[in-house]
Amino acid sequence: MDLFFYVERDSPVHRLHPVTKLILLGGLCTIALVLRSPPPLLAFFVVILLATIATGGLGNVRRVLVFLLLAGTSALLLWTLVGGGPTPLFLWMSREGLRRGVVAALRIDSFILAGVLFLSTTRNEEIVQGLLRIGLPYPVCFAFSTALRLAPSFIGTGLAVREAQRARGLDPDAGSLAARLRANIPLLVPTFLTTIRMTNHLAMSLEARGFGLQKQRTSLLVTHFGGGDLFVLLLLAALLAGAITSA
Amino acid sequence: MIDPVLAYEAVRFRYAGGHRSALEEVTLALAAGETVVLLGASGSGKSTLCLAANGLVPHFLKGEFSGRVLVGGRDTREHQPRTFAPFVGVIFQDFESQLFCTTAELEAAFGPENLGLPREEIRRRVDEALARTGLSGLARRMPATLSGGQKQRLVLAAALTAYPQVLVLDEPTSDLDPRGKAEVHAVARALSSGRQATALLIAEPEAEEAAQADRVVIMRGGRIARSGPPGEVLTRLDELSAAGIPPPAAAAITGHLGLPVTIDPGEAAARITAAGYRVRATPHQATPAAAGAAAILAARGLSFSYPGGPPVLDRVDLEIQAGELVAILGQNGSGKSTLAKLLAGLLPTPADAVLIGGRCAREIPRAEAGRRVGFVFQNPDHQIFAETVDAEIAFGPRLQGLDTAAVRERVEEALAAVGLLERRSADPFLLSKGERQRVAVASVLATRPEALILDEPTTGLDHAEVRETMALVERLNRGGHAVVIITHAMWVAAEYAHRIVVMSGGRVIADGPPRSVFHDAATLAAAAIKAPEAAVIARRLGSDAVSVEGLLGALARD
Repeated sequence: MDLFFYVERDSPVHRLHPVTKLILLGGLCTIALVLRSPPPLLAFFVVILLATIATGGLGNVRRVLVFLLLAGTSALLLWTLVGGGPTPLFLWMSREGLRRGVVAALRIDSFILAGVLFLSTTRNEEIVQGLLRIGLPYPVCFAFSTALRLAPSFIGTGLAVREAQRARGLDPDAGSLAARLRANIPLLVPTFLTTIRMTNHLAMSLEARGFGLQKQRTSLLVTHFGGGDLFVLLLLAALLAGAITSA
Repeated sequence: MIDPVLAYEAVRFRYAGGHRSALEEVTLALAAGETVVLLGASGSGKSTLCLAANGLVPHFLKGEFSGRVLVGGRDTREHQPRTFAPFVGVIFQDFESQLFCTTAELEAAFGPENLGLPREEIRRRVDEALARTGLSGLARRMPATLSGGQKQRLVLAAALTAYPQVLVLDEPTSDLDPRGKAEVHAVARALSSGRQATALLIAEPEAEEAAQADRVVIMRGGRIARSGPPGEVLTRLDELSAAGIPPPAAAAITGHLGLPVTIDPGEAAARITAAGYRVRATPHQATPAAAGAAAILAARGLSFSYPGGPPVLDRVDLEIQAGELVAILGQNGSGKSTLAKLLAGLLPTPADAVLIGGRCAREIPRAEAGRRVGFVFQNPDHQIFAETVDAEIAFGPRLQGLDTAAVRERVEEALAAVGLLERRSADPFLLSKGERQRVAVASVLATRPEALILDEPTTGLDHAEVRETMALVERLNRGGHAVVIITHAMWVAAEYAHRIVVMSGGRVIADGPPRSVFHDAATLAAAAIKAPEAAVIARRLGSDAVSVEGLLGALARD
């Protein structure tokens, strides 16, 4: 089972410099924050969606689909509840509240999708390089990328533990909510302990392979700042300026 | 010796909180290009010795340390372990946790990147190391998608790119199938004789590969009990036995017959023949399966693939009867574990291809399937969660809804079966790996399954622990349980199983008693598995025995 987001492709987005991709991620999120009316936000959302699909991230979009729907719906409902306005529409909803809800939902889903686009096109090692280039210390960058990497192995361990407990007759999905919560203890304890043990081995392995030995670390990955990067940054700046003036 | 590349001088070490020393006055030196194999039981100090080679002991794993370890003349106490990265590569037993990059080539580049080498140099070293370990075609693959043997070779490649003078490998092949083992050992041998003449220190639980080493070191209770050339050390049967190391089959057989002891199978056969021994016909034991009885577990034309994946099983037919002890052998990825999980009803089965107790596995609820077929997973740590051994074992029976008295009875019975009555109040996490494995077996036994499936029950255990675990499996089997074990340990299959099922590419390619399977050269080659050494000697003598005892029983003097 593939638990990573990165998709091996040679798309124009993949070829961008990691720093450009980081700026792109930040820029896309800023635009989503700045836009305040539903139509341009919807158009913006669709653009990111198409970009993600075009760069090979359709599988990843499917993986986060439930999450997108959940986050979108809850943002929508919450804002219709608290973002009241003078024009009643339906039951508790006001026209203004609904509009705010739609904006919030599109905004949060744009954030998620921008993240998916970034992770689908950027290797862990590139993220580290990008963060290094913008001035973060190496151990901090490495900790960040290790966290990204540990997530899949954590899930992998969790699945193995679940299988082992099911073999003993445990059915983690049966019964009331309380019963299901109780059934999770035999899953959580071994998962956490196995992960802690693994992290310890990982730390020893890093040390044994000379991690932190040199202040200036070199890299096998070649990253060029090219015409594509310049184009994307200029386009992003133009979009951002447009979004700010229109808002 | 001229300038050892790695030297231990009177090293003593006791882990913080440990009640006895892990290392006692260990003195050992390795010269360039030398291969030293460390043999010893669990707790003999092998791993600690490995971890002291670059100062992880005592910098990372703390405790009382005395004496000194010199790497290229530099004292490990005075420098951080990372400073030794260019000189000594240390590879731990658990290879999964040593892979953390997103492609094989980036994994191999991690070390030289830390050393700050120029990119062209890193590229050159990465390509070279991947070629040496046979991974050139897999440079862009994600490490998680590699097979066990490939992962282990990648860990090796990642250490090689630092161009170390010494490589320390702690049980580098214990999780691997026979082909994976052979691949790793071939790479290691090529290194020591190669241009760089890397010195190798390899810790192993069994003597299998030790005969090829320049020197064998026996460890016992943290001390070096014996050190010398393989032919000298591995023929001292009493000393090996005292250290808990199984002797090579050739040595065991010649020693038992009172002949001059040798570790070479061909030489052993020659000595046995010269001493006037002949093979006599022995009546073969019948398989204890009740003829005509309904199978407890059955697969009928079973094909299977994981969602979106390639086919894993291809029209498998298999029946397991009550009272049978069956070993399933085959390479990693041959479909063994998937077949076992399907037989236990742990995976959704296609139509009526799997029957448990004559009923379609699909129609049996999870709790009931768990009662009928017990499944012990390879890693006991994936299931142990309770604070005491008692509570851990009681978990299964409680899930079955039994009352307190009945649960009590089941726990007693299971504790007695695995010999852990005295450790019942212990915290399972403080037990040894062998004991934790037994807790896992007991917790499954307490559900009183009719059939028991064990996935690699002996991995990571030393010889005495393997013997204990297998004696337990044998007792359970005699008590009426049908037992299926998946294993890479050929001698375990040869000695304990009534029947051997060989899998290759998702198919069953052989199914029969060990005597026929282990003497069927075509099957062994097709599945890339190796007959146990005792079977190799037996064949030279014209016997179909597969174990040391079996062969000894078949020999008679003129």
